This record gives sequence, structure tokens and C-alpha cells, in this order.
Amino acid sequence: MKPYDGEGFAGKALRERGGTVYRFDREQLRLERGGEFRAFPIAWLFGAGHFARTPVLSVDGRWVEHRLSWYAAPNRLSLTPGHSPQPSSSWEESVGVVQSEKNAARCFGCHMTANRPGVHCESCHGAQGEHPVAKTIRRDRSVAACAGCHRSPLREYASPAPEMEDPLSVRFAPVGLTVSRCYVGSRRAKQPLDCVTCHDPHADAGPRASYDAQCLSCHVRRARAACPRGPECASCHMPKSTPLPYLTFTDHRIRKPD
Amino acid sequence: MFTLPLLLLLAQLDLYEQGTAYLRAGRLPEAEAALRRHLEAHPGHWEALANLGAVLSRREDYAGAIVQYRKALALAANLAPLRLNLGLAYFKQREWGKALPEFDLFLAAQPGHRQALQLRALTLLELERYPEAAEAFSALRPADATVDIGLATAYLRLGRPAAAQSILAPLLERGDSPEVLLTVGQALMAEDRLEEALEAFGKARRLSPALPTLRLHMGAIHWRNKRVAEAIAEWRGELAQHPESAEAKFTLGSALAQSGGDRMEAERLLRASLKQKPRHAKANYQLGKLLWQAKRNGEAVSCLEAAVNADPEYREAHFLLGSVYRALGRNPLAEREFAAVKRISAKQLSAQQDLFSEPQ
Repeated sequence: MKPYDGEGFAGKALRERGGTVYRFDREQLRLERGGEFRAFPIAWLFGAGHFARTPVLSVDGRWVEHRLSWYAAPNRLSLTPGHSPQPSSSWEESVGVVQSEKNAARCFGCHMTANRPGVHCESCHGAQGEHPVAKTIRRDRSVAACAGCHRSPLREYASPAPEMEDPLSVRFAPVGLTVSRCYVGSRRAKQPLDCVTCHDPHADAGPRASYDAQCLSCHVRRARAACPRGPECASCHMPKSTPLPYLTFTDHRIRKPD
Repeated sequence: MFTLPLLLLLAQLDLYEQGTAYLRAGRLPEAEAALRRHLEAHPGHWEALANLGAVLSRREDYAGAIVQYRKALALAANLAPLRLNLGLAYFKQREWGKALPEFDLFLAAQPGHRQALQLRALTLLELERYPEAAEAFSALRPADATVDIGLATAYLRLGRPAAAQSILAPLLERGDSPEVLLTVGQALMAEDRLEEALEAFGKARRLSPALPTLRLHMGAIHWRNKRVAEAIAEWRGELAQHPESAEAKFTLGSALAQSGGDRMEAERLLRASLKQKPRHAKANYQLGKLLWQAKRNGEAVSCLEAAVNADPEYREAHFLLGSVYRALGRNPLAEREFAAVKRISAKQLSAQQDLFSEPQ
């Protein structure tokens, strides 16, 4: 997340079915509807930019998630996830979805890093006074800590294959991970599988092959004997999925390939 | 001198006149008795049948009214006002699918009839045919608040809260009407402005404590804020005030099923709602899920099949039905359902991609 500077957006324009035209420059969104023009300054860009960025505007003192996002892979603008795929019918709908104060706090709470509100040391390590004293957090709490932003499945119903029931669930890694046999089966192990088994929470995700070591730490004999494919376990056992245009996610439900 | 049969005939005609006079005077039990006695001797007197239908309708015996209107129409098929009355009886009986063709037949004879047009628009809304409902309400504007509320409701159901708000704002300026406050609250809910919505519902409640669906919406806000006990209390209240409400039974039943409440009560409520609305896709899905969780897969299948028949684009229902088929060893059927899940997902994806183009 960063202050809006037009990166990915400036100079781009898009026409929506129904006639609304969206144009962006380095400071603002310019909308055209029915021959009328209006400009809206953009405050923030959410997203690190590896995959996508979404503008956030402040309109009449309220935070608005913009209807369009920029997608890195095709370098183009398209609908922001979760927005209606029907043509917008008003200025308000074209600008985006107004967020309640509570929701906005949640958005900033996860998309802002190393700051408050946002993800910072105490978000995971807990409030420790002047300086965090706990070097690590308890492993059994790490999934819950990550799920604070990356979402956890509904408690009342854990689908055995959430990506089939709701393809968008692959956006939320803990949803798939927590129904994986590897996760469920290792709960009583000395070192149960959790998010930090593979991911260093203080660094970006690594290349897929870099996770093979973690898989082979448990599956060493049988995997080497049975798998005909060789390295990059995740490419088959955690396939990539594109549930939204231009956005590809690794499905974290670890499984035998279909 | 009158002959005996003629005297008897006059006496019978008196009963019809009497019945009609009682109807006009609002003495409905006497009107019903007189007209029924008249019809015993003159079963083919369509005016008497129509009037008896009107009496029964005013006594809120809509099923009885429908029988009489149908008999009258069998004798006088071209009498358009009878179609409107019959449609209205179906409407009151909440049989929207049967009401709509009657309004259409009436409107074919009297195209500009505002009451019929308004009833037709409301019926489309109840049938969840929102684009047609929005069009029908739009054609009636400018009109009274009922039309504006109907149009705003259609827009809300179509996922266009801003359009709904633009219609409701002037209504709010005119004064406090519980129906307007209810619709405004729904618009605010759709925009995720939950506390403001709760405030609007609270005002509506002070003006009309038993306004239908009000407590359903209040409960929904509590539910979204994870205040489960408060949500369930509101939904119980709605059901106590409106025991006929299939939606209240469905909502409360679903909530109990999802929150780990009394599963037997949940099942009973879901079954009761389905008795009234057998093609309610979500109710069928919720009941199917409840039965599946209770390992009653055989019973779950029929509910989930009903859910996907009612809504062939219901991805979650297809998925759960596939899972249940698989558990029952009916693998070809399971594969068919999983293929449907993939088809629906792909369709939703392509709908998004078709929305935008480069400007000229």
C-alpha cells in the first residue's frame, strides 16, 4: 500500500458496457457518464503491485474501494474482486463501494505494513511493552495469526474441497491449508505443519521449488519412489488457480493431483 | 295473481339483492349467507358468484374467493374486472405465479389501469423477476411512495443500492413512513452501512412495531456483526409476529443450523418454509446441508437435487450434491455435479471479462 502516484493507472482508460468511461492520471480518476464529467482525487493504492493494485478514494470523509483495479500480469485495468459484474448505474457505483468505518479499519489493518493500524511486530508477537520480548510465536497460533488477514474457513462448516465449492476461496490460503491431510494429520506431530513451515513471515514468498525441502522432510522415501514428476512438488500437489480474471493463486489445499 | 314458481323466483332474486345490499353495507356474514342461498337455486348466476367472491375476499378467505371467481369466469370469460379480482385474490394468497397471468389478461383489456399495473409490478418483485419489476415500476413514475419503494426495492435486489438511495432520498425528506424507513435501511445495509441501517430500522419499529420483514432485517445486521443471540432473538420475534412468513421460518431455521443451535428445530423450520415455498433453492440447500451433516445422505440428496433444479446456477448446491453422490457411491452423478461447479465458475469469470473494453 502506498499513496496514489498513478503507477499502473496513469494514462489508462476503460469503457464500461453501458457507457461509463474511466480515465486516470497521476492524481485522480476522471469519470464520464452520459456526456457529463467528474473528477475524484485518489488517496491510496492498496496492494504491493506484484499482482494487482486497487485505488482507495476518500469521498465526503468516507473510504471508497474503487471499482477498477490494475492487474500486473496483463498490465491492464479490470473489475476489482467482489464488485458487481453488472454495468454501474450511478456515479456512486462507478466510483466504487463505500466502506463502513469498521470495514475500512480492517482494510487498512491488513494492507498497511510496519505501521499502525496495520501489520506490525505486535500483530503477531503480541503486545510486549517497549519492545517485543518473545522471539517466536507459538506454532499452533501461527495459522490463526496469519488467518487474521489471509482469512480462515467458516468454523461451522469446513468443506473438504473448498476450491470446488467456492473457487474464490483459493485467495485465502488458510482455508485450503486447514483441510489438507498434511495439516490435519500433523497436528500431533512434534513440528506440525503450519504457515511458517514454508513461509518466512518476514520475507516475500520464494520460488515454488524452494518449498520441496519442506515436503520431503516428511515424504522423503515414498515421494521419491512414487512421484514420476520430479522437483516442484507444489506444481501438482498445490496447483495454481485463476478464479478471477488476471489473478492466479496457489491453492493451499495440499492433495493428490486430480 | 302470481303463480307459485314466479313467487319463488322473486324470493330468490330478493336474496341476491339482499346479499348485494349487505355487501355494500359491509355486513359480510349476512351477505355471504344470502348469496350462498341464492346460488343454491341459481348456480349459473355469474354476478352472484362474483359478488360472493368479493365477500369472501373481504373476509380474507382468499382460497374461497378464488373458487367463486373461477366459477364466474367460466360463465363470463370476457369480463375483465373479474380477472383483476381473481389476480388480487391470488396476490393476497401469496400465489404470485398464478396472480401474474390474471393481471396480464386484465391489462390486455384495460392497458392503462394503474392499480393493475402497480399490482403487476409488485407481483414481479415477489417473483424475484427484478429487471422486469424495475421496468414496470419505472413506467409508473411519477407516482405515490408505494411505486417509489417498489422501484427502490427492485434496484436493491438487482444489486444497485446507489440507484435505490437516489429514489429514497426525496421520500425521506417528505416525512417518516415506516415502509420508507424499512427500504432505506435495506439500501444502507446493501452499502454495508450497518449501524445507520439499524437506526433506520429502529425508527421504523417505533412507528410500526409489527411491520413485516422489519425484524428479519434487524436480525440480519446482528448476524453480520456476529451477534448471533441478538439475531436469533429478532428472527424469533418476526416469526411470532408473522407466523405465516416462510422467509422468517427459513431465516431462523438456517441460522439455527449454522450456529450450532437446536438442529431439530432448525429442520422443522426449514421443512415448514419448504412446505410453503417448495422451490426455495436456499432453503432446500440449507436443509440438505443439515441432513448431510447429520449423515442422512439419502434424505439430503432429494433436498440438494431440489436446490439445483430451482437454481441451476447454484454452485455451492452442485458441489454439496456432488459430494453426497460420491459418499453414496453414485460416482457418475457426482462427476456431473462437479462439472457443473466448474462450468458455473468459468461462466462467472467470463461475465467479468466481457464488461469492459478500450474506449474509442
